[in-house]
Amino acid sequence: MREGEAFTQAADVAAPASAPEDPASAQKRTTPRQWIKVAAGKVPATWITVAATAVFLGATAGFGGLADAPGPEPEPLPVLAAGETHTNQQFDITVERAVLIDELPGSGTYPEEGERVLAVVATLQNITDDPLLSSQFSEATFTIEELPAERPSGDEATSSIARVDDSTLAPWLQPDVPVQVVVTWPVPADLLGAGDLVRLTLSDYERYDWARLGGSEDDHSWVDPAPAAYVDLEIEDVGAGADSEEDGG
Amino acid sequence: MSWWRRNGLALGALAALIPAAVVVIGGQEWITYYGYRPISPIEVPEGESVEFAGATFGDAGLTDATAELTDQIPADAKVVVVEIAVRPGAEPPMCDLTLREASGARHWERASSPSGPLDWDGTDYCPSDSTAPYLIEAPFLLPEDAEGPFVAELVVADELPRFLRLEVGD
Amino acid sequence: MSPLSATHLHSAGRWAIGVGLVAAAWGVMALTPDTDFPKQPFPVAATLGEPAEARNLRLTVLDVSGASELSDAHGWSGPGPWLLVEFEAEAVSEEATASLQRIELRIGDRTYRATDRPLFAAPRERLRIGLPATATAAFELPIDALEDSAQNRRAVVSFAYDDINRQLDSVVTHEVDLTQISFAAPAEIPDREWSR
Repeated sequence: MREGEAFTQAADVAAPASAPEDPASAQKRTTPRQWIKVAAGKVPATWITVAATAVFLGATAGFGGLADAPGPEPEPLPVLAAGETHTNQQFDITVERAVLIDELPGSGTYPEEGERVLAVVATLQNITDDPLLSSQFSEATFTIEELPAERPSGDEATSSIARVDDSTLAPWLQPDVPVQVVVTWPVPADLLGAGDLVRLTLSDYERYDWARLGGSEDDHSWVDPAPAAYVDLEIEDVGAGADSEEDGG
Repeated sequence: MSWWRRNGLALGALAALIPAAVVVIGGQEWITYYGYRPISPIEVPEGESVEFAGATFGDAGLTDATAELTDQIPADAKVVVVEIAVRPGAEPPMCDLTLREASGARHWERASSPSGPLDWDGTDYCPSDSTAPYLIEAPFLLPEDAEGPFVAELVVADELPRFLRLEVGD
Repeated sequence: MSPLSATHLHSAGRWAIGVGLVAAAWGVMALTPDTDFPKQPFPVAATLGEPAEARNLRLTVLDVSGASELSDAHGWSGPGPWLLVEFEAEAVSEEATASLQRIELRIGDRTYRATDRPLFAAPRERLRIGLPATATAAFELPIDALEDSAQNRRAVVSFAYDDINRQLDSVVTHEVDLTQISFAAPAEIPDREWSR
């Protein structure tokens, strides 16, 4: 509206003054306020926007605002002690102890010549709403970096999981029922000894909800296990094994 | 009227192409689903032989073996044994044998009990290691009310969707 | 001009039609089942002692009991609490796919699988036509299943053939009131066997 006024007033002034009886209008033409109004009306709006942006950016750059944002620093993972509980989306995990033993029948790990069994006893509680097959997740959830990936025979060194009370391999973990399990690895006999500190890495799976045409509301899978905590355990060496599992059949 | 004449060629093409598309796409899906299922039986009347999967199958018959297995089966059940004489060719086939009522209503698998497979001496499968002729003796556990006639269905995986349907009477 | 103007309706009439259509759309939305609906299995309710007929399945729930601890005739035992559902089942027309892969207990939002730890009692093998077999499904329960809560009063046991492709097949269901069951005493689980 102001622009309009300025134009009509400018037009009045530009046209032959048919009503010069108002001396105030002649004076208005020369005031800076009037002149700015005229000029602003003639400048395309985009020029003003660009100019303002340029000034703003320049000021920001002057303060260092255009440099790359620093990436998030990887936070160091928490280190737990035996008996402390780590909770992820699937389980409450309480690692109790680590034991080195010559062999542990019923655990799923069969040591070869020159190997012994490293057994970690933990209590797992499934905190989801569906039963979970422990062996589907135990290999990635419980890892020990310092163990060799290959066994003397050339096979891959994988871990096994079993219930402690009845030696059931790869137990199903029912919702909200805590179960004491033993996770075992075959290790070279000379690698670890009594009193050594071994670092167990606990990794968390993430729940991935996927939707597909014709699927159920609850469709999901567990993906991307990523290290979430360490547990430092002191190894007990029980030699040939006073610590054998209850054999239930 | 003139619209029809103007578009006559296009309409004619549609009339030919739409059914063709249905046949091609539907046929493709049909083959994918049914191509590996036993849906195309070769009927073998009782007592006759047939060449199938490189071997000769014949003399299909049914005997009752309830007396031999009474201690492993419930009181009101009966055991029938399907016997088929097999003369394998160069490559003995592996086969799956099931029993069906001739009317198609019920379909039995090899006899078993809640505690595991039944204790049975006969050869109830197609051994793939020898080329000598052999006799298949496969037991099936039937309830009392299962009356014949029956057919034995013999499936060899490589021959699907064709399979043998041998009349065994009773 | 819009076609509606040819019908000589005055403004109120047109508004009424518009509002009516919106109301009808709301009604349709309210009546439409959710996306899970077409994929639900067909439930067949089983009452205690009566056979339930589902597709290719005839199942009778014989007894429902609880145990503080469970053991079997072969030396296995497991701490409880356990819910024990004894049932008898037979196939009707087809033996090939007649294996009860899905035996589960649903308490509220949580699902429990029947245990397969007692090897000779776990009820997971093929059913036979016309010849029923008796087995006991045992469910390992959390401690809070013993409390008195709405969920525990309306737990549901389900039996079905396929665990993965559940849709459009039958499922035999049986409602269980956990608060009415005693979990005080230990029990022994019998082996699977013929019913007669």
